[in-house]
This record gives sequence, C-alpha cells and structure tokens, in this order.
Amino acid sequence: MSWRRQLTKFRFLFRRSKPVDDLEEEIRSHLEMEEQENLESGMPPDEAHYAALRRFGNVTLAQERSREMWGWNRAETLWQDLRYGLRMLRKNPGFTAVAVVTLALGIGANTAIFTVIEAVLLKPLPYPDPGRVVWVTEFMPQSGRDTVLTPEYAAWGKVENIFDQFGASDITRGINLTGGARPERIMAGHVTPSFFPVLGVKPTLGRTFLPGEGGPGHDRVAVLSHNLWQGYFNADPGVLGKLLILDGVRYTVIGVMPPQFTHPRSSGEGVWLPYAVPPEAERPGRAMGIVSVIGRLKPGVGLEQAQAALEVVTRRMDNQYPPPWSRYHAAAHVSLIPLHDWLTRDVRPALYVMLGAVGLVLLIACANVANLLLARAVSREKEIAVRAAIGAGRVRLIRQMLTESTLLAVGGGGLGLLLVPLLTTILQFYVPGSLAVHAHVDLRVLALTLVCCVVAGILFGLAPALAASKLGLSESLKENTSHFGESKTHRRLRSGMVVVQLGLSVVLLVGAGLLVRSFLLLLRVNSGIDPHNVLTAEVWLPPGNIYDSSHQREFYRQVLERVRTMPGVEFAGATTEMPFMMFNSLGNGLRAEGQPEEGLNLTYCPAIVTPDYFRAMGIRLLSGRFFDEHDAAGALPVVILDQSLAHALFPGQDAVGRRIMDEGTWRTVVGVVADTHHLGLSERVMPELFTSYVQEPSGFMDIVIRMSSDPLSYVPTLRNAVLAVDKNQPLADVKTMEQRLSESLSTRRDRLLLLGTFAILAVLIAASGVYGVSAYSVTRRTHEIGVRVAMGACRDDIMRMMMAQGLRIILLGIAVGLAGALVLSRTLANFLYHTAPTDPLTFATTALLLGVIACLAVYVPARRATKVDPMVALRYE
Amino acid sequence: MAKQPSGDRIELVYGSLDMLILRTLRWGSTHGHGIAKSIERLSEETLKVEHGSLYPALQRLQQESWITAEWGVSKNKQRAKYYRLTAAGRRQLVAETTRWERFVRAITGVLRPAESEEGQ
Repeated sequence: MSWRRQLTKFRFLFRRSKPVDDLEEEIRSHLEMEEQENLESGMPPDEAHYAALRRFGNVTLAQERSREMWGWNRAETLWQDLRYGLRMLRKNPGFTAVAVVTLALGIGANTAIFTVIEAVLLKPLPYPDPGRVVWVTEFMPQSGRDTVLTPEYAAWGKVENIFDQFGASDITRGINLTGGARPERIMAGHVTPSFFPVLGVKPTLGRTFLPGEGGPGHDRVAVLSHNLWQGYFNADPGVLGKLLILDGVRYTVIGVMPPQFTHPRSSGEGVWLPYAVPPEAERPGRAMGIVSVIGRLKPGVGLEQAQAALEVVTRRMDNQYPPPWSRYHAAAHVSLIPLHDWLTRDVRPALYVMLGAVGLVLLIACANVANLLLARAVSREKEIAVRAAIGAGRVRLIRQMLTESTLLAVGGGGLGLLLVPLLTTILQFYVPGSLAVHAHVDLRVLALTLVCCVVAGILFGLAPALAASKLGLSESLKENTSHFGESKTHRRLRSGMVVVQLGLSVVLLVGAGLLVRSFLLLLRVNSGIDPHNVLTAEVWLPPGNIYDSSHQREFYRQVLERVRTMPGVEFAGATTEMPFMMFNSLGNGLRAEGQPEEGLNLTYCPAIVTPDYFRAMGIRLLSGRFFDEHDAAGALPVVILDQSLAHALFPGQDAVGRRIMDEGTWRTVVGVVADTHHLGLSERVMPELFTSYVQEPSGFMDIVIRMSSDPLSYVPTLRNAVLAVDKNQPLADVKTMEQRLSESLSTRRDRLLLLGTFAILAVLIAASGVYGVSAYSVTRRTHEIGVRVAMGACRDDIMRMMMAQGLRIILLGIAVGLAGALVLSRTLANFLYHTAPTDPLTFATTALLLGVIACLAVYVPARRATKVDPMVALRYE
Repeated sequence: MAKQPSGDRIELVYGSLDMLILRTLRWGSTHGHGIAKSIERLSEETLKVEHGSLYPALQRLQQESWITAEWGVSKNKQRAKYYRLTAAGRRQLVAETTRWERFVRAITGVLRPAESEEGQ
C-alpha cells in the first residue's frame, strides 16, 4: 500500500459520512440511468426497474465493499459485530450460561495447570545467570542411583577451565537447637564455602563462608535462614556475632540469607554450617562419604564439554576403589544436568500429563459449545438467510458468527480466571518444596488464557459458522423446511462433535481408570506392618563425642521405660530405619556360614532396633524369636533377618540358629520376620537385617509406640518423657504410622484425584453434549413423531427409533475413544503399579460406564419423544 | 447471492477491471453507469460486469489517486458523479496496458503452435 493511499485513507477518517451518502446517491442515479435506458429500449416500466436492479447486483453488498475500500469500515464492522453478538447472547441467557460455564471449566483448568507449569518449569531459578548452574552427579546403573562419592568430588574440583565455582553439600539433616525456651529440631545444610558463590546469592546481613572454613577448628560459624533469623532472633539486626547452640556445639552467627533463598532441595531449612571433605575421605576407602555437587560453568563451557572433562578424571580413578565400590564405579558415568531440570525431574512428566488432560477437557468443552452453536445456527437459519439476502457477504457472516463465539470464549475465560487461584492452590500440593512458592497468575499466564479463549472461540465457532454461511438462500427462506429434520451436513457435524466428545472422555476416563486400578492394587499390598494406633517420633541424639555408645543405649532405655508405663501404651520400641522413609544406611556383601568369602552381591538395609520394635510396629515373627534380655552387650552377637534376606542367604533352609558374617562379626540368627515394604507400597522389598541396640548402640533412633487408642493425644506425654531423661533433647517429625503410610501414597493419590476430576468433568460435559443432541433431535422431530404416532407407530417403535440413532453415535464415540486411549495410555506407564497401560479390565469398565451414562443421556429425551401427543405435534408450527 | 457464470460471458478478474475502468476514462470523464456501459460495448458484450462491482473498484482507484470524482449533471439532467483520469492514472494505464499486452502476447505465443500442430 503506497504512502499516498495511506494518507488519503487517513484524511478520509475525518469526513467519514460524506462518501457514504455520496455512494447511496451515486448508486441511485446509476439505477435510474439504467432504468431509463431499459424504458427507451421498450421494456414495460416494472420490468425496466427490476432489470436495472438485476443488472446491478446486490446493492448493499456493493455499498459495503465500496466502503470497506476505505478501511475505516473494518473497525466499524467489528464494533457492529460485537454489539450484535452481545445482543444475541443476552437474548439467549440459558444458552449463554451453559456455554460460558462449560468454557470456564475448560479454560480455567488449563490456565491453572499452565500457571503451575510456568512457575515450576518455565520460570528460571531465582539465581543470577541460572543457566550456568548445573547438578553434577554420577549415575551407577547397577544400583540405579545417582551418587557422588567424596573422592570423586575432590578429584573433579582440581579440573581447570570448566567451572567458575564448584561446591558440595553433605546430606541435609536435622540438628538440635538448644538454648531457647524448649529444644527444637531444625534443618541444617552442611555446605562447602563455594556453595553460595555457585548459586550466586548474597546474604542480606553479614557474610557467607570464607574459603577454608569448614575444616576442623574453622567450622563453628553459621549462616541463618531468613525464617530462623525472624523466629529465633526476632529479626534482631545485631544478630551477627551471637551464639547458636546446635547439637550441643556453639556456633557464631556470621550471616543471614534473603527470604526467598532456600536450599534447592528443601524449604524447611533453618541454618547452613560450613563443610569440607575431610582429608581421609578424599581417598577411596571406608572414610569416604556421599555428597551432592553443584557447579557454575564458566561462560561458554557447554554441558558435554564439562561432562567429558569430568569423565576423564573419573575413569582414571576406576582402579582405586575397594570392593564393593569398584564394581559400581567401573560402570558409573558422570552426568551434568542443568540444576533447574534436575530439581523438576520428578514433577515434569506428571505436569505434562496433566496439561494433556486439561487440554482434552478444553477440547471436549469446545466440541460441546460447537454443538450448542450448531443447534442454534439451525434455528437461526432464517435470520442468516435474511442477512445474506440484504447483502451480507459470506466472509462477513462467518466473521459475525466467529465474533459471537469468541465473545463466548472470552466470557468463559474471564469466569475461568476466577477459578484459577483455587485450582492453583490445590495443584501446588503437587510440587515439592521451594519450587511451588512462586506460582501466581502473571501477564504470561493471562496472555495464554487470552490465546486459549480466541483459539477456542475460533475452534468451536468455525464449523457452525461455515455450516451456516453455506446455506442455500431459497430453501431457508421458504417456510416449513426446518420442521422436517435438519440438513444432512448439519446432522453429521453435530454427531461428529458428540463422537469427539465421547472419544476424548473415554481417553481421560481410561487414564483415570488405570490410576484407580493401580491405586486399588497398591492398597491391597501387605506393607508388612500394622499402622493402626502407632505413634512415631524422630529422637536423634547429637552426633560426636557428647554421647558414647553406653550413653546412647542408656538414653533410649530410659525413654522407652518411661513411655511404657504411660497409660494406653501397649508396646514401645525404637529403630534406626523408619518405614516409608529413605534408608539411613545400606550394606552389601553379607556372607552366610560356609559361603565364599566375598559374600553375596545383595544390597540390604541394616537396621538397629530395640526388642519391642517388632511388636510396636506390628511386624510378624515367622520363626525363632525376637530380641530379648538375653541378648546383652557382651553376650553372643545375634541378628534377626527378614524373610527375603533369610531366603537369599539360606535358600530352602531354616535360617534360625545359623551364623552370618556382617561387618567383620559372626552373628547368630535368632529369628526371621516378615518382609516390609520399606520405601513404600509400590517399591520392591529391600532385604533388611536387624541387630539389637543393646549390642550395636546408635544415637539416631525413631521411637515407635503402639497405643490402645488415638495416638496423637499422647504427643505431649511423649515429649515430657523425653525431656525428663534429657532436657536438651527435642522431638521431631512426630507422626502416626497411618499418616506416614498416607504420605507415602500422596503423590499417587493426588495424581489420581486430579486426573479423576478432569475425567469426571469430561464425562459430565460429554454427557450433557449427548443429552443436548438427542433432546434437540426430539424437538426437531416432534412433528415427524406426531405423524408416525398418528399413522399407528406405538411407543416402543418411537423409543427404538430414537435410541437407535443415539446408540450408533455412542458406540462410534466409545470405539474411537478406546482406540485413542490405546495409543495415549502409554504416557501413563510410569505412574502405574502392576497395571498394563492397555489393561483390558480398565478399558472394558470404562467403555461400559461411559456407555451406560451416555445411554441414559439418550434415554431421557427419547422417553419424552414417546409421550408426544400426535394432535399437539401436528399442530406444532 | 451465488453468481452463475452465464454462457460465453467471461467473469472479470479482479485487477483487470481496474485496467478496463482506466481505459474507459482515457476518452474523457464519465459516470459509473457510463463506465459500465462502455466496458460492455468495448468488449462487444463478452465481458460481463455486474454493475455493483464497479463501485468498490472506483473507490480503490480513487484511493490510489489514479482517478478523481466530482458531481455533475448528465445529459438527461440527472445528478451523477463523474470520474476523471489523473496524470498518475494515465501513467498507471500505460504501465498496465504494456504489462497486459505482454501477457496476452505470451499466452497467444503458447497457444498458436499448439493450434498449428493440430492443424497438421
């Protein structure tokens, strides 16, 4: 378009009315001239007039097109369409309400999921230049774990030109904070001084650790989290230099971190303490430990390049490791993952599945509204025909209809936005720790919602609009045609929409069904423990030299003795390995008497327990006995095995009375107990080996109490019992076993509930779609049905006729859905337990359930059809 | 609304209508009806113009400033809008005509050998 044309157009804006009036007059004069000519050529006056009109074509259209040439018209048209659309919607409040609510559910759910995805997956971590921060780990295929051993970390740290900063943290754990009104247990992150520079976060007060801090003699300094500073120190600005007593050791406060800063792995952190790999742990051997490693890549260094550089170092160390680590190490390979990816690796697939699910819900909603629009388009046939006759072009008509549908979508979207905060709150339970905190609706989310609305509006508006604009003029203008059924295209389109809705609902329902089946199977798993009325609490003594082993033994003995005398307590015990929690230690290389020296290549969990632990936890004794008072400190070393370990060590034999070699000591097996699903019901059983706390004292035990009634009311009593033995010892992680069991299932349960909700929503919308179509069909065919009844059709015939029509659509929809589900259910494979993604039972149940619901949705209107009074129907206009 | 292409009349393609209007106005100013008639006459009535479709084209040509319009009185004493070619319009006509002739030459050049082959 030339600049001159632009300019003329612009000038034209200011004298808009002129050419419009001109045009009318001009055309009038044109018509008069033509008429005149016709008259002169000898036509009768009437004919001369109509011939002129015919020769000219559609007057209004010519005017509109001419005006459109001046561009202004476009905005004017839009405004007209909008006003007209609003008027139409206002005139049909029922239709509008149903459509808007349907869309609100669809769009609201999508926006909510996207809000969470945005906050969790798309928003970068709150660190400067976060793309360069990587998680460094070593994947060991044999154990299926990511583990970094301290010698690896030490060796990697010497590699040059890869990392700007390279840091590690020891395992994050609880620590006893004393000196306040009552002892507390807080989370402590043990991190190398380079940890903070890797993330690039500066403290709000004071400083973080200096290089060199962390070694013996330089490790009594602490950096506070914002929360701890506010809570424990009342946000005292002079907190630097004050003392903090942690696990009985005095630390000097040197810094306070900003509020949003949390350890990437957990949000409950209270304090950071300096950590350095002890020199003896830098070499492969018994002293080595496990660390979590992060690094900040130098600008321009790629992941592969860094990975290759570290891999070289790791391969050089292959022959330095003792068994059993040498086996693992040879197969291990270094992997560098952007920190953000690593933190979100567990939630990512689930969020994508949910996004897919809500996408389907939105599609179903769109199909439903499209159907409503189609139904309405039929009743608007005449209106549309009239508008076409007086000069509305096809494009113009389509635009008008699309404006209406987009208006609906935007209305739905607006209402949907109101649902978002609620839905997001629910969704956030899904997302671990620090990641979820920032989820809120922002511009990006709003933009997406708007796009959702417009796309949805066009999606569900296009088919009806095209169908409506294609109508033949003359048929529509003639009276009565609309009473005998709708056009074939229309009926096909509407049936197609119902098939789509049913199909998509089947897909969602199958997905939800698979999760339900997995969950039911999981609930049937025997966990090996009896979780009813069991209270548990972490009571960990400070490590180090404060308590020697006789002290530790004495402490737990006294606590348990006090607890046992409390009313309502049936059994009280303690263990170092609480079920449904991560293992605290793992072993390998057990050897039974008479077996080769290198022992069994079987990873097991060594637990230290008190004699009554098994009774308190409800773990069954299969043979032999539990620990008792005979198993004293100096007596014969004894051990209890669980069934799977007994079976592995003594296949086909009774283990009781036999001896095993564990950590250099021969121990006699005195009992075999039932297996427990330690890591959760869905995890395989990890063999466990139990020793008595009397013979192998530990300071890290969890108290387990079986009560005769509601265990939570005993928490204060338990706390007092512990404080009476040691006034500096806090309780932590106080929970009933039922809570722990429930928490271990929570991710699956949440997924199930969420997908289930979407599926139910989908089925409801689809059912209303089926109902709508058959109810509509009954209304349209009232006249026809009246004729049939008048001609002698009985009620059964009418019913059969109406049902047959509906059933065909339903069967097709379900068949299409089952086929779709076969393809899509594979995406759920990782979320299932002992259930194939193609589980026939689930597929069959789903088909049956949806079939019954859909049939009902057809049956109700069909019944109404049988009640049609032929007299009324025939008179019906 | 649907337009049925009737018999041996050729529907005017968008664009060539512009050229025909400009060509008509080369002989002097005239009104819409006059343009419609002379297009029909010029093409010996093989080109059919639905008169209504002239008006959007006339607006477009005005915007390009190839023609101007002003009210006048016809020989039958009727008020009518008269269109006149501008200098820019004249230039455009020359350019368009040249292009059109080249196009026609090209088409006939393609068609003629085929005809002669058939003739052999």
